[in-house]
This record gives sequence, structure tokens and C-alpha cells, in this order.
Amino acid sequence: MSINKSLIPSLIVALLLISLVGSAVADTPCQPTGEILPLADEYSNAVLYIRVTDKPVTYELYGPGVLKVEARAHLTDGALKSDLSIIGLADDKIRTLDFVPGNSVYADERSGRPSAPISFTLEVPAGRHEITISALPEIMVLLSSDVQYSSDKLDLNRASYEAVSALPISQELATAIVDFRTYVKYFQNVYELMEVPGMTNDDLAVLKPLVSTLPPDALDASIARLSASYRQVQRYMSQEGASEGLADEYLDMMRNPKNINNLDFFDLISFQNVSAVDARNILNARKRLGQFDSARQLRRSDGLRYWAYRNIRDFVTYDDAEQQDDGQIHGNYEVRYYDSPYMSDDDEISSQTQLTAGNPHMVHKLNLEMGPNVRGGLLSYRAMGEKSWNETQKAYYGFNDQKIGPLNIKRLYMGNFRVAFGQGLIMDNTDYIHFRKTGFGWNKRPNGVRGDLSRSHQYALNGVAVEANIGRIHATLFSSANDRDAIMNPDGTINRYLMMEPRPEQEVLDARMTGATRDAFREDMVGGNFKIMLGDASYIGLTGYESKYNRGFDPRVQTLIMSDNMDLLQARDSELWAGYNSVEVDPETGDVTEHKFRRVYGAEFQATINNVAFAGEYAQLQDPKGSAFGGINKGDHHDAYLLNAFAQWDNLHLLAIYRDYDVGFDNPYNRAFSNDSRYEQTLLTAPYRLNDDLYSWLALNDPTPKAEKGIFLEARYRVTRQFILNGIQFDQWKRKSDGTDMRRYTIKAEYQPKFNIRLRTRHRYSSRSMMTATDVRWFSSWESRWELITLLSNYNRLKFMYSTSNVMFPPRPRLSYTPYPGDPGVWGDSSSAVGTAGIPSHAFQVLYEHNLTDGIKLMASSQLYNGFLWNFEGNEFVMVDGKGFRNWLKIISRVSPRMLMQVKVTRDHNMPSTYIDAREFGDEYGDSPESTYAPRDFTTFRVQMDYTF
Amino acid sequence: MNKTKTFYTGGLIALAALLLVPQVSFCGSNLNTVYGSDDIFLSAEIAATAGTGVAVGRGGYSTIFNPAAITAGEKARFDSSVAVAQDHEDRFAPLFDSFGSYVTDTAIASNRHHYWNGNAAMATGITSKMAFGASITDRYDWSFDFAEDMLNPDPSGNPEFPRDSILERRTYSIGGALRDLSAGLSYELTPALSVGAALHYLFGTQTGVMSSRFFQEPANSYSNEFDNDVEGVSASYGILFNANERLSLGVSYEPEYDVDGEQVDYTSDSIEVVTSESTVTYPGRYRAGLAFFPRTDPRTTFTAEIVFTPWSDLKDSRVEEDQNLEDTFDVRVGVEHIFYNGAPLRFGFRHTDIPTDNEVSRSAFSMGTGMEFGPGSFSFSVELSKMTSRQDHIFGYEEYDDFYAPDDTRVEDTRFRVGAGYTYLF
Repeated sequence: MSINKSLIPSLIVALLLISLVGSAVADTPCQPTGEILPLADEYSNAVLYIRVTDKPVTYELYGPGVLKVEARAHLTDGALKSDLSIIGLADDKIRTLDFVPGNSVYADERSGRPSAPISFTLEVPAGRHEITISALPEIMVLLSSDVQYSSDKLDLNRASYEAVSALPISQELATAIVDFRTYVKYFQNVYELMEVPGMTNDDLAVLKPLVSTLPPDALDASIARLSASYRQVQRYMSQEGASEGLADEYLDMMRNPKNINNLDFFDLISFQNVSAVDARNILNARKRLGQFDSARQLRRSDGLRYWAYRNIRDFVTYDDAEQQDDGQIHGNYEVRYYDSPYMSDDDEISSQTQLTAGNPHMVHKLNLEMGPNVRGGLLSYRAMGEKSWNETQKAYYGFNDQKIGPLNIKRLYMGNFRVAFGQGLIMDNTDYIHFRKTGFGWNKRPNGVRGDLSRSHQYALNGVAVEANIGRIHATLFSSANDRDAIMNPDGTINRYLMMEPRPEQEVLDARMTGATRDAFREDMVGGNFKIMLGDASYIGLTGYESKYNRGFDPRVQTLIMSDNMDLLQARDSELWAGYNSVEVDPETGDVTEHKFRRVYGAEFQATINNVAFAGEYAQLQDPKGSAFGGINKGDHHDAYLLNAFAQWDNLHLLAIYRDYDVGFDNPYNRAFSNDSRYEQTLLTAPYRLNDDLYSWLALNDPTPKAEKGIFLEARYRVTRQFILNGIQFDQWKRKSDGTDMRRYTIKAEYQPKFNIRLRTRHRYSSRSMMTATDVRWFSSWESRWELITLLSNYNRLKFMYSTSNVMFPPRPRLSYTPYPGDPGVWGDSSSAVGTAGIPSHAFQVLYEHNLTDGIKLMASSQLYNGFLWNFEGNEFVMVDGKGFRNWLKIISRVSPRMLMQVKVTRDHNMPSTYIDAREFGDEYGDSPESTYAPRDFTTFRVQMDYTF
Repeated sequence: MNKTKTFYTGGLIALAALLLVPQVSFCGSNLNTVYGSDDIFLSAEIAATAGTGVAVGRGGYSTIFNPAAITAGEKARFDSSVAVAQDHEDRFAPLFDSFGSYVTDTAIASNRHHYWNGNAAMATGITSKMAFGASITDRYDWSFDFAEDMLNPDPSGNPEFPRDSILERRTYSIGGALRDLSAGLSYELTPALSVGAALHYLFGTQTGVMSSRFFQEPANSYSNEFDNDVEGVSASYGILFNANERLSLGVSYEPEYDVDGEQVDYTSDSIEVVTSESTVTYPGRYRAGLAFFPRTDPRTTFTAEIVFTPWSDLKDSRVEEDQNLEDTFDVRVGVEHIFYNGAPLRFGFRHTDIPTDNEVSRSAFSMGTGMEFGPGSFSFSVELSKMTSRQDHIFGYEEYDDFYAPDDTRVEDTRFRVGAGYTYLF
């Protein structure tokens, strides 16, 4: 028996089943109204079925009593979640004991299968009352039964052990009942007693007239909310790097959602997948309605895309009264431990160095909510290889949303804070680069001020920051004082910032006789941003900051490159010379003047026209030897700008970004869109050419973008229900340091011939200098990846992945070597006539995810690889190289509604792939490599625990 | 079966176990050969949850963790476990290419050895408030095995010893474990508070061999060996506090104790035998932990504890100078889910400092399951642990001029251990 398919109006329309398995009434059954439908076979013991289309269903209830409701969603293809909400209680005397409005349920990912249940309880006082229930999927079915409730029975959910022992059952069974209630779950009804070990039908028959199962005390609403969406919570808790700050805020809002009627444009566009056009449409709908009363009204905002709605709904309420303030301190404590480098996605690639061997990563993070608007937090962090567990320490305290007359202070934080503006050209103070960070979709930039509990240390800000508005004028001001790591010149001037991870002890650096220095100089900053709203979703703004230092900057290259190798520097290395230079030498007198400051300032705009949003930012780095604005006096100012346009339809969006950054625009807080980081592809990538190989960290870790000029286009198109182009990216740009042409094209597609089978493919092509005939360093590469995912029952998944790629470049025989037998030869004599012209790779992976229960998941993966491979392992982005066999196992356990524990162990057996003379190990100039066994087996661990209170 | 009979039955089985359980222990790292490693296997159930037990009952094994956790008022239980471990030690040195650039770490010695071990324990209630427990387990492992062959690198040498022929076979092997025969009592002062105490008789024989066999000049071969019979007595004390139905807190303390040894050193031809006596004062041990019983389906127990061992207090009559041992923290976290059919899923993580090098630590992942069988249940566990350190060479390479070697080597110790046990409930 099935539900008439014609009743299903769209792809994501779902079928909700609400079973009223408890009782609300004394001697009077519930009387639902509405259309009655048959239910699926497996629920044929149900009594009544009600379908709701776009109209809610109203019950008449006769109290006193307690109504227990259990809701299950039936979803159709493509939909994973559904909303359920009570939109009205006709009688405000009915009290909801534990219902979280706007709650969502996940369904089994197969059509026709029910979701996990959501249970809630209503306390109905004496007399007749009405309750109205609705669900966003526009069809639902209700089922009721009329189990009676009588208050003179023993409530098994509260009874003492002695009282249960007094029942006419054995002591063992009484103990088992109390244990079950205490350690497993509360009883929803007396029939659940059969789940108690040792319980028989005869025992149940004896107990049934003697006991009742009243609903337990309500779970803390914020915990219930997190618990209901724990898969999403788990994703947020796993985010690190450039996205960390926002993830903390999303978790905060999930615990304590904000009233959408109080959110402004900037609040709305901070949600992932919410564009400026979506935000404008929400604001227009709110203006038209006066206010949103329900998720249903929000969903129906004209022009609001479903994906935008889905990414808002878990974080908002519709009434101030729903916001929690129980006077308690709430928060989240998190511990992470891992002994392998961690990246959260392929846009945050960084490299490991020999110094990372040693102590594992360790993060302790405590987030605190003290009332609805007061926030605080503490963090300690040890990067892999650092000695002290609290090498990086952070703390902040502040408040949100305080009104003083017309002044609305949105955020005021003391201690460590994050601040970002516009497109990130002027200010976005994270230690981590996120390549191709568009600021759209999932790559939102945390504009404004946030408390900072990310792992960053080098670009962390410490002081006070405030974000406020008066009407249409929005302003952010901040002040910070910090010591920074740097490479110092021999004369004591600063060569440039150096992002060290791990940060070696100063004694280690001293022993290397290096210019790399911890806390090398002090940076005092003031800065801010002003915006004037020109419409609901249009504004213009100004941004700027000034850093004051205790020394000047002189980016002399001789400090970095060994003198013997200076002749290897080429045009591509011009970024080394073009570093910020504030030391002025009078050509006539030779007098030296150190200008001990840096100023960056600029303007931004945002506008929306119909379904298109436009934005842009211009920034200028002041020449310290000139005045504030170039052209008036002497000075060589460097600037950068970025323009973007985003057009959206229901199933399609298009994004275009044009950027042009000067090579001399050396702004350490620049995190704008780019494909490469500033010192990549320079001589700094060759540590053996440098005065200290630690300087190669500039090429590995520097988070500022490379000077680029080019256009980036992106599209996502849902062609049909079965076929989705998940991402088409076209990027063609010029490396401005030497004019080299660069390309990167990507296409991602997904095909679902049936709901539980998904075929995914990703293809990338990239190249460098293909248009420059004289460049011997050209390369091109392609990569294809194919995935077959089968969705099994209970969210279990089986995935097969095949990946292949090739990197092609001109053969260079001088780098190939063919020793003569018995004669190691001399360079040149033994060189090969041919050279390697390509590095192909292949990999195959099988991954299985099994949900033992709602809260316990096992993941196991095996993969064979030959060559370079990147891959996601849970939420972790991993790169491997060589030839190997890699296996990992992960256990995710929701120990309790408040606690989540994840453990992952990885074993990577890297096959011997080189021939090395182990008997001459350590000989820096040994020849004729010819050993046979160089095992490289790695075992790594990752542990994460989260406790919410 | 009444309690007295149960008690005697359990005691007899425990005694039988004491006689039968092999006194073989697991290999540790070379860092632990002198005073032993405490990465010991007790039972599959305990190993799967990362070796936690100070705030939760572990039958007779609670005499090790916290004697107050020997559960009063319950039926007698007997536990026995065996485990097999594969210990893999690789020693690496950096390899540079002809440009002088670092290429990779290459293994200069790779050893893989297998070990097995068995333990037993029993516990029984004596009165409604008092319980007794006993166990026979390892306390510290000394064991470590290492072997390497030196091959002839000379391509134009003596035809009798051509290139790659074995010049020397080197062997270093330390064996044995400090075993622990424990007996303890717990007493329930109130339903929320129990106290306990245990006595430990420590015994064992540490054996060692360091030998080298020269193939070109057999007369230079040597083998030095020793046997060290040790014994000592210690006591431990514990408190278990059931804060509420969801949370138990446990602490235990074992003061420092002396282990006396009588060592016989001799060479392989027994030309010279030297007997000496020694006393090692092992450091005390502090344990603190919690057990959290959330209301979840399936039934779940979360355990976490810290063990602090002030190794800097260690005294050894054989060594006059300060050994610079570091105090250690051992953090253990375990989770146990019991499904509706009684089948458990256990897993855990453990992170342990190493006293001989404060920059070295061991990480271990563990998991396990089990099944009910007859009047008791089987438990199974697997553990995978890793430790990376820098160590001096065991033998050195100075006498081989053709060999270039750095002063020390990066050592990777990896252990894979599988355990199984049976718990019998009387």
C-alpha cells in the first residue's frame, strides 16, 4: 500500500508521519480533523492517518493530560531533511515541554522509508483545547491512538529504585528496569518495557495496569537542537584553518539561534550559500510581511533559493521569546589531537617539514555563552613539533547586540579577535591561505568582527574591536598590539614577516645562525571600516589600517639567497625584491631613514540588480617614502583591485571574478582570491639555495596571494533531477611577476540514475607557460577522478573511487642519470640521452561507512596509490605520494547528547620505490644509489572530543 | 553456589592461573629496557578501552587500577586473557642526494618480533559491603630484541667475503617482566563511597644478551649475558566515589617501593661469573579518573583517566649519577557501547610520555568487541600504537671506516597487539 504519487508536488516534498502514541486525555481520544489516508504496511497497526497539504491540521484535545507526539518524515528522492514545526497552539494554556520549534529531521535516504523520529510532549490542562500542527513538506499523515493515562500509577521514569522494587516483579527485573531508564533511555510507553533485559510478556501483563510512563524533564533546548542536527554539528566541529572562526559562530547560532526578524543584511550574507540577492529578497519579504512568523513564511520569500533557505533555517528563530536565556553558562569544550598534518580541504594545502617530527598537534578550546549576548573563549594550541602544549594561547571576552539609543553595538570584543572586510584585499587576519576563496557559497569570509579561537598566531590580533551601526551607517574599529615572527636582516631591519609552523624555540633558531626570529618586532595596529547603506543590499565603504613597528622593513634578497645562487634569480622572483621597503637611503649623503609604519587603505561597494549581485574592492599600499595618496608627492604606491558579479536562478548560478594585484602590493593581511600564494614558484622553494632552509617556509606557509591578473568564472547548474553540474570553473590569469600565462579549468558532475546510486566525476586541467615558447619550465597537468557511491539502508554508504592524473613537462636530460656498471661516472658522462617528461599517477579506493546506531558510525577505507593523490578522509584532506597501500578506520561515537568522540587511525604502507645505498646513509655526497629496502610505514592517529554544556 | 564456596572456587582458579600463566611479556622499546615499559596488557576488555579502570569496576584487575573498585555484593567472577603482539622497530637515517639535498629517511635496521602474554584475575563479594580481588599480571616489561647484520660494502675485497657478504651479526636482547601478584579488599563505606587497598608481590627475572659474531675473524666474537632475579612488595590504596547515577570518580595511590635484585653476569663461555646485588626504588603512581554513564541507547560507558608517575624519584643502587628521568603523564580515554543483544563495541585512545626522553611519547588506538558465551563472555581487542624517538645507536659503527653514520637515529616503534579473554561469572 502506498501513498498516491500524484499528491507529491515537487522533488523535495515529503511525507510526514506523526504518531500520537501517548495520551493527552483522560478517557477521551484525540479528535483530529483532515483527510484520512492509509499508511505504509509496516505501520499498519496505526489507527488514523491524516494528510496535510498546505493547510495545517487542527486537533481538539480534552485535558487534563499529557500528549506525547512522535513525528517521522517520509522524504522523496533528493531530500535529506525536512522541517517540522508547531505553528500555533490555539490555547496558550497548552505547554510544550520539550519541543524545539523549527526542528529538522533526517530521513532515511530512500523514498518511502521513514526518518528517525522527533518526539515532543504537550501538557494539556483540563477542558477543551486546540493544537495546530504543520510541516514544511506539504503532506503529512497523522496517526493517533488513545492509550490512557492515570496519575495514580507508578511513573517508571521517575520512580525510585525502592518503589520499582516494590512492584510484583523480581529484584533482578526491578534493577534491570531502573538500569535501563538510567543508562539507556526513558520509557516512551509501557510497551518499551519489553526492551528491558529479562522482561517477559507475563511480567508486562502484571506491570501494565500498575505503571505509567510520563515524559521526562525536558532536555536543555540548546542541547536538543544540537542533538537533532548532530551530523551538521559534527561537520562544523571538524572545520579548521581559514573557516574556523565562522564554524564557531555557526555552532553558537545553532545552540542559540537568532531571531531572523532582527538580522540585517550583513548578518544574512554571513550564512553559507546566502547571496546578496537572497539577503535582499529576505529583507523585502520581511518588509512586506511585517515580520516572519514561521519557517514556512521564510521559505516562501520571493526569489529565495532553496539552498539559501536550507543554510539559514537551522540558525534562526521567529520570535524573541524562543531565544534561550536560562541564566546559566553554556558552551562547548573541545580537544583535538593528531600526529599528522591536517588540512580541511584542497584549498588549504600546506607542507610538512622535518621540524614537524616530535610532539603531536594538540588543541584545547573552550567556548562560553554567558547569557544570550555575552561571549568568551579560551584556546591553547601546540602545532606538530612544537614543545609547549600552550605555544599558542588565545582568549577573548565580549558581547553582542547591545542598543544604546540609536547606536546598535553588534559586537564588541576584547582579547583576540578576527576581523575581515570586503573581498579580503585589505584585511582578513588568518594565518591560513584558502586558495580560490570566492566569498560565495561555502567559502564565506567572516566579515566584521568575531572572537578568535582559531589556531592562528602570526596574524592574530589582540586588543579591542567593535562593530556597530547607527541606521544606515555601519562602522568597525579595532586596535591591536602584537609581536610578530620575521626574518631579520643583519643590520637589525626587518626583511619580511615569516609564518612559522611549527615555531621553533628561539635557542633552535639561534643555533642555526639564522635571521628567522620569534617575536622579532612589535606591531601596533589601528584600523577600521565604514559603510553607508544605499539600499537594502547596496552600500559603499572605506577600509584602512595602519601598523606601527619598532624597525623599518628592507626586503633585501641577499638575506634570503646564498650569494652563490644570486645569479639564479629570474623575473619570477621579482616578488622577493618587491617586498615592503620602508628604509630610505639618501643617495647623496648615504643617510638611512627607517619609516616604521605601513598603511593600507581602500574602498569597496556592493549592489544588487534583479538577480545579480555586484561587488568590488580597491586597495592601495602607501609608499612609506611618500604621502598618503600617490601622485601628489613622491612615492611609488602599489594597488590591487577585485570585481565580482554573481547571478542566480533556482537551478543555476554564475560567478565572475576579475582581479589585478600589483607585485608590490605587499599587504600581510591580504587574503583575497588567488590561485597561488605569494612566494610559490620562486627560488624560495629550493631550500638548498637559501641562507637558511627555514626561509623556504615563505614559499610554503605565507598566506598572502600571489600577484595575479585574470578572470575566474564559475557555474553550478542542476540540469535535471538526476544530473547536476556541481562546479564548472574556468580560470585564466597572468602571473604578474614575469607575465607567465596560467590556466586552470575544472568540471565536476554528478549523475543519479537511481536515488541510491550516485556517479561523480571531477576533471581538472591546469598549465603554466604553455603560451611562452621560450620557457623551459612550462608544465601542464590533468587529473580525473571517478566515484561510484551506493547509498545503503540506514545511511550506510559504499564508495569506490578511481583517480588518475599526469603532470607533463619538457624532458630535461641533465636531471636524469644512468650510471655505468662498476663506474659511478662523472656528471655529464653518464647523463641519459632522454629525460622524464611526465609523472603519471593512479589510485583506487574503497570506502565503507556503517551506522551501527544513530550515534555510532564506523568508517573504513583501503586505497592503493601510485603517484600523487589527494583525498578526503572523513572531514580531513590528505595528500600522499609514492607507491603505497593506505588503510584507515574511524569511529564516530555520540557518547551522549552532549558529547561526541571521534577516533581515527591510519596505516600507510609506502612501498619501497627508490634504490638507496643504505650503507652510506647520511653521506651527503654518496653516489650510486643502489639499496633495495627503504620502508616507509606510517601510523597516524587523530582524536577529537567535544562536550557541550 | 553460596558465597564461601564461590570464594574458594575463585581462589583455586586464580592459584591455578598463577601457576599456568606464562611469564612472558611484551617487547617494549629500547627506551624501556632498564626499568620496563608500563604499556602492558591486562585483559581484552581493558585493553580495548585504552587501559582505563580507576573509576569503573574491572573485577580482580581492579587491584591494579583502584582496589576500591572491586565491586562488593556481586557474584564472583574470574577473568583470564591472552594476547599476541607484533613489535616492529625501524631505525632510520637521512639520505641525501648528489646535490646534497635531503631525499628521504632510509631504514638502516628493521626488526620485527612477536610476543605473547597471559594474565588472570578473580573477584568476589565477601559480604554485602566487602569484596576481595586477586590478579596475576605484568607490572613492567623489560623485553626488547634487536639484531642487525653488517654487510661488506667493498666490491673489490677478499673473494672469500665478496661484496654484501655478512661481516658481523649483532644481537641485543633483553627479556622478562616484573610480574605482579596482587590481592586486594574493598569496603563500601556508603552507597556512594568505597575505599580499598591491595598488596602486590612483585617478582621476575630480567635476562639480557649482547652478542656479536664476526664472520671474518670468529675469534673476536663475544656474547655477554646476565640474569637478574628481582622481587619486592608494594601496596596501593584507592577511593571510588559515585557522585550520582551518571558519574563515578576514582583515585588511587601507590607509594614508591623497592625491588631488590640479584644479578649474575657471565660471558657465553662462562669464564667469568660476577654476582651483584641491587635495589631499585620504583616511583609511586597516582591515578585519577572518571566514568560517565550517559543515558543513551545503546548503553554507554565513557572512561577517562590520568596516571602520573614521578619517575624523577627513581633510585637505583647501581647508578650513582642522576639519570635525568622525566615525570610522566599517561592520558587514557575509552568508550564502551553495549548493544541490545549484549554485544559490546569498545574503543579508546591512550597517550603516554616516556620517562627517558621528554620529547617522546607513545600513542595508541584500541578497539574491541565480545560475545556472550555460556555463563560468561568472550572479549577481543586490537591495539595499534606508535612511538617516534631519536636514539643513540645500540652498537655503533665506528669500527667500519667505510660506513658513514650520523650520531643518532630516528626510531619508529610500532606495536600491533591482539588480545582475547574470557570472563566467567559464578
